[in-house]
Amino acid sequence: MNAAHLHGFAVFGGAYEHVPVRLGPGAYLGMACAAVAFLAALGARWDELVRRPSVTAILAFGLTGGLLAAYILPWLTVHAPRVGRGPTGYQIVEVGNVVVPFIALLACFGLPLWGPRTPPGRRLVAAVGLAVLVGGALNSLGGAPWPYEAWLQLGCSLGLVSVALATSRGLRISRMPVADLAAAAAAALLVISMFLPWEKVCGPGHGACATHSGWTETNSAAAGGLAVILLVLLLGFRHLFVELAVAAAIYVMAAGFVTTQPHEQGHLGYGAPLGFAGAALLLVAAARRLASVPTDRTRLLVRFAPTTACLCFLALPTVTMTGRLSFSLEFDSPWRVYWLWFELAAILLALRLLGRWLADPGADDELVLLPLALLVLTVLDVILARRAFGSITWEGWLSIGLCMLLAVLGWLERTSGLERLRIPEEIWRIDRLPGES
Amino acid sequence: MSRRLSLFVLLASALTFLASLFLRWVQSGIGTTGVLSILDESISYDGWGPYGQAAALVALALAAGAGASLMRPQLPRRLSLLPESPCSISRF
Repeated sequence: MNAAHLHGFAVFGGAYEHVPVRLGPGAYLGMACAAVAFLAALGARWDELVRRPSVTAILAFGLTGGLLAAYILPWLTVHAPRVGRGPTGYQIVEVGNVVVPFIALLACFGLPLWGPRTPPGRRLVAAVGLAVLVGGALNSLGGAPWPYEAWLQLGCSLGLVSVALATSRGLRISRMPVADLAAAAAAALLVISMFLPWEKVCGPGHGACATHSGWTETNSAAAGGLAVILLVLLLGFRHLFVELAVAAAIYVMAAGFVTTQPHEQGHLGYGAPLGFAGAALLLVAAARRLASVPTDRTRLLVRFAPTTACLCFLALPTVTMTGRLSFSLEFDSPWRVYWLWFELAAILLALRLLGRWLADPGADDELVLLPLALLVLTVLDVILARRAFGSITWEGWLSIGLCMLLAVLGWLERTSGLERLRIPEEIWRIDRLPGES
Repeated sequence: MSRRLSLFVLLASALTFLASLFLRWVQSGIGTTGVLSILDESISYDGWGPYGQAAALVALALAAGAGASLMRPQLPRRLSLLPESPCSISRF
């Protein structure tokens, strides 16, 4: 998918320069590595695969494969017959740059659910979630003529829903707790709002206005993808991932800030307030977890440092996303919009870590592993920013420093416990030599 | 294929994939070829596009999971995010 996208991007540039382009060695090496990893995963689970699979499982695998293949097809059509004899003669069909990785993730996650021992409700929820995401990605096409790969995407996703429905004969819908039901309703409201106009852009004076749905803007589309994943996990696995809820709310907030920037001509469409309401309700659902935080004063004081460090780290990508920083601050940040997926992963990991520090996990491996994962991510992000822009800024160093501080605090908590941590008396004691006054 | 060998292959392929993203993924079809193509100034992109970043995150997670399973087999089970997670690497 990455090779196809980059190739299409280069073909577009090459068309202006009259330069033919081709895939380079990195693409072949990357695709070979992906194929080897895929075969290794197949080999590891070969015993399960050689058992006679059901017809529905084969059908579902085929439909999922067709769906993923539809995104690998070329997205740039030169001399497209649908466009007619216009001045350009080509059509760019780039459906949902942000939504497609969510689709690929959910499609791969959904594959093992077609096994015989999985409750039918899980695959139904995953298939519906996939169809919603595909609908969102196609929604970003607007009124443009649909190419055949768009129809293939829609057909495969609806086919998966049909197969899931056909195999859900034993489906039982158990009652959810009210809190989870409220969270599901909030996420559903956010997802519905994504299909409505989020932004209205009008020309100068009384010029014509155009509207864009939530799936077309980067931050709101990321929020929509997170909300769909949240719904799949909540309805299918009955587990509310607070990190996903808060991250979706953060992205909705950023979308609001970006759309209403003073120098832009965009205004909020009527879908945006619905999205804001959904995000606010998600935050309320997430805040209910705070009730389970132990209120022991000593403990809260001891954990003040790690929770503050988590919040400081979280603030760096979050504030950058809003587009309200000065140009130099935003440009210097390693969390600028070019690295959307690193930004999203860092926010999710930081939220998870914050939750672990606020909860009472005891000797928790995650307190060490999460900061280390954040450190790897931050270092990679800083390296990429250095390659692209030639410098490492104070925001990059600050992010790395916070990750290291969090890793040390997590290690101390895991080994001896921060509350029992004492500085050895020998360090403080001042022994006076005989004869000294 | 033995479990450990699968994990080794997964770890190696994930790390090599990450390294591949720093190489040229797309380049112009004309100009110098072979080793000298590194010096070519025409159109070329490395693998860090939007999909490349997402794939890099998956590769990082795969490498971390495979590495942890090799060094401390009990660790992924202790960290399982979902009950009966279908994607748990500890099932390998």
